[in-house]
Amino acid sequence: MDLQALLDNRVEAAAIVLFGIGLTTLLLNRNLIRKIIGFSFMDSAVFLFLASEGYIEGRTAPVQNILSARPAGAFVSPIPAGLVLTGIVVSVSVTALMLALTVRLYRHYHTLNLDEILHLARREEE
Amino acid sequence: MPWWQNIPFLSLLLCLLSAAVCFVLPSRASRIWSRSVLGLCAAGAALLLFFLLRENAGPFTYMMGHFPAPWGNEIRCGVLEALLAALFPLIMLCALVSGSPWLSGAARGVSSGRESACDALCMLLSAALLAQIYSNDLFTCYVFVEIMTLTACALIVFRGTGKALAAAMRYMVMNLVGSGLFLLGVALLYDLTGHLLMEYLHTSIRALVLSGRHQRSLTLILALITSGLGIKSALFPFHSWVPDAYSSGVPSSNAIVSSLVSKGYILLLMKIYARVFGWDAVLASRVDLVLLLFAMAGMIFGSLAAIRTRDFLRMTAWSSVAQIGYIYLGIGLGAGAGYQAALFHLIVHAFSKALLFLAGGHLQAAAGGAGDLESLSGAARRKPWAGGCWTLAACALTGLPFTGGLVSKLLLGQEALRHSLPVAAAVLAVLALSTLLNVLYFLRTAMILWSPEKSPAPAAAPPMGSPPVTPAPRFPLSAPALGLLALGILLTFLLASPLLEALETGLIQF
Repeated sequence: MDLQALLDNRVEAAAIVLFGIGLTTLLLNRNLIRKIIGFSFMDSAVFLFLASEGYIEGRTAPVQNILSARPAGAFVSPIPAGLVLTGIVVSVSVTALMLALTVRLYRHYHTLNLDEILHLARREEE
Repeated sequence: MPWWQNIPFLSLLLCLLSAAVCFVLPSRASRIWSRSVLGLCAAGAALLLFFLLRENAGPFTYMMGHFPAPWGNEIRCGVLEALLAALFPLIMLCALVSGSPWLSGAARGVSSGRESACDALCMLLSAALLAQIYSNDLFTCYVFVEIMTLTACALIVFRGTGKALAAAMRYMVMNLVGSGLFLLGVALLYDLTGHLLMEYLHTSIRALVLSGRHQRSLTLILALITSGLGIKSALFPFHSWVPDAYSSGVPSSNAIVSSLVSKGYILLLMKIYARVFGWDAVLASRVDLVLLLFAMAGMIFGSLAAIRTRDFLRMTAWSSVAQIGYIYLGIGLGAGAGYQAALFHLIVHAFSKALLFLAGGHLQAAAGGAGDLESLSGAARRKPWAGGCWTLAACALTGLPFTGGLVSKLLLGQEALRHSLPVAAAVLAVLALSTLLNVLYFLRTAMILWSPEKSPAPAAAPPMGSPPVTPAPRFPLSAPALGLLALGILLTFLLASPLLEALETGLIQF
């Protein structure tokens, strides 16, 4: 019974697992580049979740063809796809900013390890 | 539709457009442009508030684009939104005007050439704040939450030193975790209800609660959204990024980041509690107790850390953790009067924390830019107006009479008494202890600041071995801007009852 529910929602379950992987990598990994990859994982997992929820089997993209008009019931809702697109834009800008910060940090401290960077920054202050 | 209902949308649009305009303008023009836009936004929102109060009408919704309610995007505005939309740009204006030599680099004797970029960032930040205040659509809120995070990160890293870069990286990591949790919460909520507009979400959630279905999912969503926004607004156990992030920029950017950015997230969280879930659903999931505990722990630990540190700016930053605790305490105490206390303290804290950082910047400049407390001794005597402003802000955060801080503490205590005995006793004890701790570190710092200088240096000769003296930068409009913030602190006390009345009306309409 529970296994069946899991099978039916396999994409969503996979999305949540991916979200967890991304979140722990972002929080716990010390390497800045891996942190950024973790962040990308995390956001992509949410987009996977939204996209899989927004898709209904047997329906098509909401583009009306003038030659063969179809009823509204033949289409999936365009809003989840719109949300995913917006989310991707946000995610790309965040990734760009994080990478820019990483480049500046690497030039300054010559390491990608955040613990070492924080340690060096504290020593620099004293 | 009366013409004044266009003000929220127009001020948002103006801020967003100005962000693009400021990037291409030369620094002097962008300075004038951004200051005028902020002033215009504050004035517009004040006008909106005036009309809302005079017409005594309820809140209004404003359709964005041409899609009607269940699908389209909406702005919703009542008394509370108009009030905050008037105050936040005003505080940002004061922070920018008071510290423009720091932002342009004139205070360090160099021209950074980044001033117009900074103005553009501030415009983007105020657009994000206004969107946080006005938007009625959860996903729009998410997008502007991210915009706020990015602009705040750029403000933290503004000085470009290694310390600022490291602080910004720490800030980003924690904040991205927060936005990830918030986004997942929003996605689950959308999945469960099929709506993004708050009124429709509320109807669906009410139906779910009544039918008893999906209770665990609702609790999970509430936990995700609360922890996401809690991390972003520096609620106690998630505050590790605060002391570095709030102390590594120039005074103006510190003031903006510490006094305004976290307020946007808190307001959004309150909006979600009140307008999406409804307070009953929040109570049923016991999130209020968790908030209460975290808030009380934050009030104590934030103050203890502020006492322990010897760094002037870090002390100010740590006191933010304690003050955010006060605001969450109000939220945890419940809808109605608890929210009122939280919002009142939110306003008081926005004014006084900005003033604390700005006046503190002037005091540090007077002491030769040193960071630790001891070297600031006597700084307030050299710049009495900055010292006076700093002391007033410290009084407000401690909760002394004639400042708004007293009113918010009274409100919190009063509201605590309405709860069961253990809760009331715990809250009152923590309030008393936290006030005592506040007095300890603010009084100590004030005494150092106002202490007579050890050696009356003849004509303020520079100490030996200091770098070649650059002519001290002039801060043309600094004193009036600081005065305005100080006036805000005094007015929150003197006009407390009309302000509370407005907050009450605003909360009923919220």
